[in-house]
Amino acid sequence: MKIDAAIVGIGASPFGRFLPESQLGLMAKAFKAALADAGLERSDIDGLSTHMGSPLGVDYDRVAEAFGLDIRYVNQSWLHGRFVTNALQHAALAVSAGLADVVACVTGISFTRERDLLGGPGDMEGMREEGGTHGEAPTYGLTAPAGGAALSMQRYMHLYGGTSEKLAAVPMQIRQHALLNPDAFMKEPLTLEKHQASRMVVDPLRLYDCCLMTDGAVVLLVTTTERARDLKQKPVRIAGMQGIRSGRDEFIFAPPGLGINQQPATGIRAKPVDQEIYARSGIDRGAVKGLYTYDAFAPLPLFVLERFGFCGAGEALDFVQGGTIGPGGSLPLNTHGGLLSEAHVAGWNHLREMVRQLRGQAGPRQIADADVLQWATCWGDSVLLAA
Amino acid sequence: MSQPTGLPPKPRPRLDGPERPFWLGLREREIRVQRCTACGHRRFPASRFCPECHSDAFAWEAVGATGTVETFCVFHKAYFPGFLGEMPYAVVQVRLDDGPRFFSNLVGTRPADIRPGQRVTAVFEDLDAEATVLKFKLIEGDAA
Repeated sequence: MKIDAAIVGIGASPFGRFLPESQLGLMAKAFKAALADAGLERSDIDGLSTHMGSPLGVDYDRVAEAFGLDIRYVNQSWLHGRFVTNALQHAALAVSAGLADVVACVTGISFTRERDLLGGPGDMEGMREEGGTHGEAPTYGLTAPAGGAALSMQRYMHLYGGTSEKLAAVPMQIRQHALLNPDAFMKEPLTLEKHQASRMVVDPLRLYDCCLMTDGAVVLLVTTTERARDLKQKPVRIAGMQGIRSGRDEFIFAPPGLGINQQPATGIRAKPVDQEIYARSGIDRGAVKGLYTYDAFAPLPLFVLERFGFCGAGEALDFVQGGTIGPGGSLPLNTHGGLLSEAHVAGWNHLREMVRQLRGQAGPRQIADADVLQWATCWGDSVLLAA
Repeated sequence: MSQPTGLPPKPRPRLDGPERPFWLGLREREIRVQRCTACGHRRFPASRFCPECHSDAFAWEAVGATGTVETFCVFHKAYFPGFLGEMPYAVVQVRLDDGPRFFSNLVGTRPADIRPGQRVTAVFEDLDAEATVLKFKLIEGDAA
């Protein structure tokens, strides 16, 4: 089966902290906005895809009931950010296979209401007996996603050199993008001095190396390319995709080969199959005009640059110096401000931005000639979107 | 080691699951991991089949107590109130000379003095009459 899918509608709620609306209330705003954007009616939606169920978000059945939908295809996966493009990929697969005509990818989450989920006594999943999914070992105080990311960055700096000052290049450039985006929660420039003066959360990660914990909703509508041609907006085609990698080579917040947890320390970032998206889509890496990634922590974009071959193993910290990933750089990254500076809508805010860029609706942060953009993650999945 | 007065206990390990032989081993001052009796691969945490050769034949056997610090991080946020008495505290990743890795803490070393490459040996710390946890300490005089 060939993938034949396009994103035809995007909608978002306001983003913020301690917003008065429930997750469902936020999602309703995003849902209405997405329908209006696409020129579709509520009755056109017959598929739902989500990974952000209760308690952080809203389960599919509640969405269908509350919005009065008649749904014939549902995908609801694991309540983790890592499943963002998995949920989009399921939508693409479903419309390509004719299991649904229009799938709404629905995310409405509140990290400020549910802030006890991430680390500490409220993190039931982190108590998983054989170790949590970010390496959690609560007996020894290893808890919260930041712990796993910090262990990876410390080892990376030990093997390849690097400092907190050099790492600051990632959040500083992402902040520069955010300053061009009126939706971004962070409104002030991030200087090196400010970064270095910020408190350590889990050393070597400082406050500004860790993403925002916000409330917000984003809805994306996916249908076939044929149907997309008749709708209101210029369609954004799903031009390529590859799934999440899993196995002994993988630790969620490390690139392959770094040697975190039980991961082998080979230094090899990717097998050919881990970069199959380029060959399968017929789009070269060099054609990518902007890169989007799950920037929960400042080191993660570095690991993505290496595992997808934008630079070699151990080279990413040098690669990002000098404005490479900032506004006007050779590879702009997270041009809306990402999880670090726009908001944490689990990566759906990144996909929304990719669509705006490919439609040419990104205003002062528009990437010139944006025709191909890539989403890629530290855990190896990827989606290429094309105008 | 008992907690300072007024602090809640730290999270306790589960002793009744697939890792039970490991926890029983710590009571007896041994680090026991699964060894595949078909290919010899040592593994932890517990799994039914060897990830190398897929054999289901294994034995829980003691491995050597020495290893190397591969990486570490330092918590400045007390997610668990049980750690409030020792902020900031470090978590280390130790690779045993015999293979498996463990997340743990270093006893007797300040976070600022921890470096990847340091040589360590096991410390068996009794939490109470049933639970013992695996910690490590620096091997004196061993070059980092």
